[in-house]
Amino acid sequence: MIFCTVGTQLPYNRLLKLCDESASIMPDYNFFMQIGESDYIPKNSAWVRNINEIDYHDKLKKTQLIIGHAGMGTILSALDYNIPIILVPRKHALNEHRNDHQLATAHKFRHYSSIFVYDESSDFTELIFKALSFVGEYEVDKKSKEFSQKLVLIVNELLGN
Amino acid sequence: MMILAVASGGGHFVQLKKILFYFESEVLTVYSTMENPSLNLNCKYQVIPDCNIYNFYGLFRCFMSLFCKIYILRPKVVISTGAAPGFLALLVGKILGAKTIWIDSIANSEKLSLSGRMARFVADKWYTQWPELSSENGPYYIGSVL
Repeated sequence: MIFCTVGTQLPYNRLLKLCDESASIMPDYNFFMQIGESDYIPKNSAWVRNINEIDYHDKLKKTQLIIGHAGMGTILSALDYNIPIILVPRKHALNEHRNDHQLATAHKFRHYSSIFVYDESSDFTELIFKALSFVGEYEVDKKSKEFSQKLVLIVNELLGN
Repeated sequence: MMILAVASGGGHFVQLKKILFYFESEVLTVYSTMENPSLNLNCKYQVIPDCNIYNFYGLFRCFMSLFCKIYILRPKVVISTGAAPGFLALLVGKILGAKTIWIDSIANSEKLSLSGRMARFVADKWYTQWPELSSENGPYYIGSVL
């Protein structure tokens, strides 16, 4: 399954249009879209407005590729499940977010081998095929566990233990 | 209950869960804005109203809700990954005598979030997840979730 998600906060019509167009020329692939408050209704794919956490994780278990905005929740999910992801950063100029931090986020994560960033110069469907053919794994858990360990020590220090 | 961890839904909450990995669940309470989140932690959970900096009424409602809850809970430490509800939780925690820890979201890679910048005034420990955003007077960098 190819899972397209706009995240929990804001509508994102541009992302859904891109995905829906690709869905129409990729009939052998099963697309699923979480559209939030967007006005655009996908014609070539199943969709829901919002999804609860449990269903979300169920979907991710069956997902080969995520296409999403450059939100941290979406990126972390993709890395957690080791699923390749295409980021389509929201742009302030197109009124897609309050500022351009998603461009910065996308830029920071470019070097991850499983993260692909869409810019207008490339063909979206081609990028989907490229991302689908990604194979590989890497460790992301190690850093976050070290961080957690350090914070436990800091909490203990604050508590005077 | 000794430790309170607070984050709004979505990415902030995902990061909160990651940093809580080694925390003892018996002494932990989590507040977030979602009704039924998947916690993967065997700790207490309560829902708080969501809010953002652009809506004064929302901020006020969230503050009052947090104040009532934290007044009863009396945590020794309040920790948050953001955003506005997390900042308010630190503020309330500070007022009620808790130690406070702010971890700015990893989404803010160019500049600290607004709540992150304000957190300086209420956080005993003030962290960014990007080394290039850290400075001698804070925020400090000690690690990140990625």
